Amino acid sequence: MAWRDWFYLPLPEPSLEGLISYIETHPVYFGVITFLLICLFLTLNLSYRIMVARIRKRNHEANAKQAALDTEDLLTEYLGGALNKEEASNALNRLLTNRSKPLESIALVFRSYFQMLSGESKEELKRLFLESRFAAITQKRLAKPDEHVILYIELAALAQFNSVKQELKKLLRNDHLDVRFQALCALVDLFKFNALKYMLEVKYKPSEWEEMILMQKLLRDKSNANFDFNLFLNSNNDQLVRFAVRAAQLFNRFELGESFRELLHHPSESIRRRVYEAAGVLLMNELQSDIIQAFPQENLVTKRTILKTLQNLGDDDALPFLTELFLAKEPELSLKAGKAIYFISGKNSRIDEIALADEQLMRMVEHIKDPLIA
Amino acid sequence: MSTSELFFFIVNTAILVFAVVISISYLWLALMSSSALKKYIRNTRYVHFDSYVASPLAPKVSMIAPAYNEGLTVVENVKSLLALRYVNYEVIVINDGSKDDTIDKLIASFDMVRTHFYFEEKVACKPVRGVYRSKNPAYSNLWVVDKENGGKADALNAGINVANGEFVACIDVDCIIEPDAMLRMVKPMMEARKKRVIASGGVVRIANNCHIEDGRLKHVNLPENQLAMFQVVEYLRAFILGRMAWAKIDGLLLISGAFGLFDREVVIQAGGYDHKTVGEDMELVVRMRRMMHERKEPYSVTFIPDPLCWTEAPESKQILGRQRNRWTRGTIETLKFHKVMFFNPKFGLLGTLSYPYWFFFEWMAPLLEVTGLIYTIYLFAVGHINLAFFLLLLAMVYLFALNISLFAIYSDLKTYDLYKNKRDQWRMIKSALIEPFLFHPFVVFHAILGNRDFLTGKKAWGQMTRTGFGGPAKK
Repeated sequence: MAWRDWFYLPLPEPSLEGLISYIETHPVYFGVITFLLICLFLTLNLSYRIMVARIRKRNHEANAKQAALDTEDLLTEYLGGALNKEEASNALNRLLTNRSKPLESIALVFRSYFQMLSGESKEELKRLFLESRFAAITQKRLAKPDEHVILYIELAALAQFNSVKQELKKLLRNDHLDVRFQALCALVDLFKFNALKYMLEVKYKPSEWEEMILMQKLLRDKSNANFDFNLFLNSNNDQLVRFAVRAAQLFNRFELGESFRELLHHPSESIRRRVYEAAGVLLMNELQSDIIQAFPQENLVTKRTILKTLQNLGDDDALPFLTELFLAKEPELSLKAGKAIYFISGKNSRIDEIALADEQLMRMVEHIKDPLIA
Repeated sequence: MSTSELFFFIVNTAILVFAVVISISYLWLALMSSSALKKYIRNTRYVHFDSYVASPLAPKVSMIAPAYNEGLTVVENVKSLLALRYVNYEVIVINDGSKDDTIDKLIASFDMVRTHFYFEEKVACKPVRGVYRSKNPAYSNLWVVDKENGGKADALNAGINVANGEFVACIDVDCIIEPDAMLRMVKPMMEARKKRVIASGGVVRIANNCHIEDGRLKHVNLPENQLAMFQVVEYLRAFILGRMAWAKIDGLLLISGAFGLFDREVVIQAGGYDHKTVGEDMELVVRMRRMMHERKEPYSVTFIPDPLCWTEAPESKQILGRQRNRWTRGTIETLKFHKVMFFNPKFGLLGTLSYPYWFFFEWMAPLLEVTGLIYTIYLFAVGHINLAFFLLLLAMVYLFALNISLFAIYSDLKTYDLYKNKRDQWRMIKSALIEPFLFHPFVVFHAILGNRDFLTGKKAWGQMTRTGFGGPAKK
């Protein structure tokens, strides 16, 4: 091949016909050149976007910071009495209408003030919120189901923005799981909404994460403690049952022993495990024999939970079962059984005698008795 | 068609198919990641992690941190781990038979006393010499395990044996962990409704040149060293684009050894970390997934794009080379151990997509690249190359690769925006521009050496020398 052939690059004629004939005659060249041009365009575009995005971000950050500072100044002056409600409301409205001031920053400052303040100052802040355009803006945002509204749900809840109740209820039907859950939390916070009844009605399936958050909120309202948890415990929604068992445990519902006894035969292993755990915390000694009976059928994790429960129950009747298990030297279980024996029997524990002459068991006893490990 | 023509046709077609498939897969990963990242940011934007860190309902997490000859920094590192914002956790430091004073420093600094701990070997590990706890109640969640040297996998197994938590977080002791990292990692595991989340991976970021004080990251800077700079771009691509996309389709095979959270029960059932491989992090994830598939239990492996863990990247060619060599050997060993999954529909997406992807584009790609290079030289020699067309193709491939890096930088900027110094973006673009010429050939070369060492049966980890975060050099 001649050297000049190495550099041969056919190019299309600068006309539509020329291009069509080029595609027909040199499809590979056409493909490569087209893809190259697309890549080049993307490279320039991305590089430009990166550089511009940084500048925009910097501006946005500066604006957000300024908006937060302005809002803080305004609230400090208002709460300190330097501005009356009307003046403050007008100033806030000006901030809200200023397009360069990010709304989210103003909302975040309000949120933190609502959380921080209490008593009359909080009431003052609430009045300003309701009197300014902020309440209307919040309501508008809540009414748009497609918008990301979590911050506004929270703001409305913190401000106890009464007219928003219907909007929040509408959000309970939102497609977005997080929005639904946030609306539920806000309703609980704001209106002492009966979340338990609602969950039962809609067969809500709380995840463990949601359970943790919701439980923290529900525990604050003592009226939830009287809820009829039997309605939950008979549900065919496993997540709801699991939730109810945990709730019953945290609300100290000692009288649910009989319902729990039925749940010991529930097909869901995670529900049974929750029941064992709750039985131990609520000291439901009446369930002990059923729990011991269920022990052999359970998996290792649940067996460990059962042993912890028996330890909590502290009933001497469990000692023969525990001793047998301790002597069986079953991995992961014997140590827990020994621990339970030691905790049940206290200082009178005969665990040393039981373990006597067996080196492995003696090492377990040393572990159990070591105060640093306990 | 003559034999030589047929040969050229077959080889050219194979290379073309490979190039097209790898390009499409990168493009697909980028697009998938982008949407997953947006969704994640949207969903967590206003979550008050701080409000829940003290919840007694949060699951217990055991952090396992193996330490080998870390005497110079171990006390500071452990203090930083003990200061995380999560109420229900314990820190288990494993002294893996260090030759320096690691264990003495731990005992002296934290008032540790040897206990009568009854050690049950749930997963295999080298003999444990002692388990220590502190007399000081302030360190009640600290455990120190002193054991014979057995390597990182072995040390992690010892930690798993001692752990009490529902989840185990396996970390490098010298990593900087963000204060709310635990809760962020635990969240997807607690949110799972239908599937059990067996593992969760976190993004690892490069901490070279960052301002670190009392084990906390105070200010993010880009590294001064160009080699570390290349790795910043590389990590962005790998974590922000690659793993996020794989997690979205639940096909993630690798969780970084520097920071990962695992369901302890599943880890024990799978047999813990494997001592036989130098890629123990990937191997464990693959084995756990394989086990769950074989048991037909619904499960998933998730990934958190938040920058939760900061680590020191190698700044010398020698150390980086060793690291890449080891990564390659680890990949090959893992793929070899689990070859039954290769294009096996029994393992679903894992067997039909994730495994083949790793096989062709992680293991084979460097080999094919070198073969392609030799082939190109041969074609030049025999005059079968049109230089203009060759340059066109080269430019196209270069620009495509550059776009992937730029997209990663852009995604990071739009979401986390950690690099705020004036010239940071330009420095990253510059690194992305020159990376294909300087860094990529280096990585490919060491991947080839990794293949060679795998064939010759080399098992060593290779020494990792760190300079420490602003501290004196340590080995």
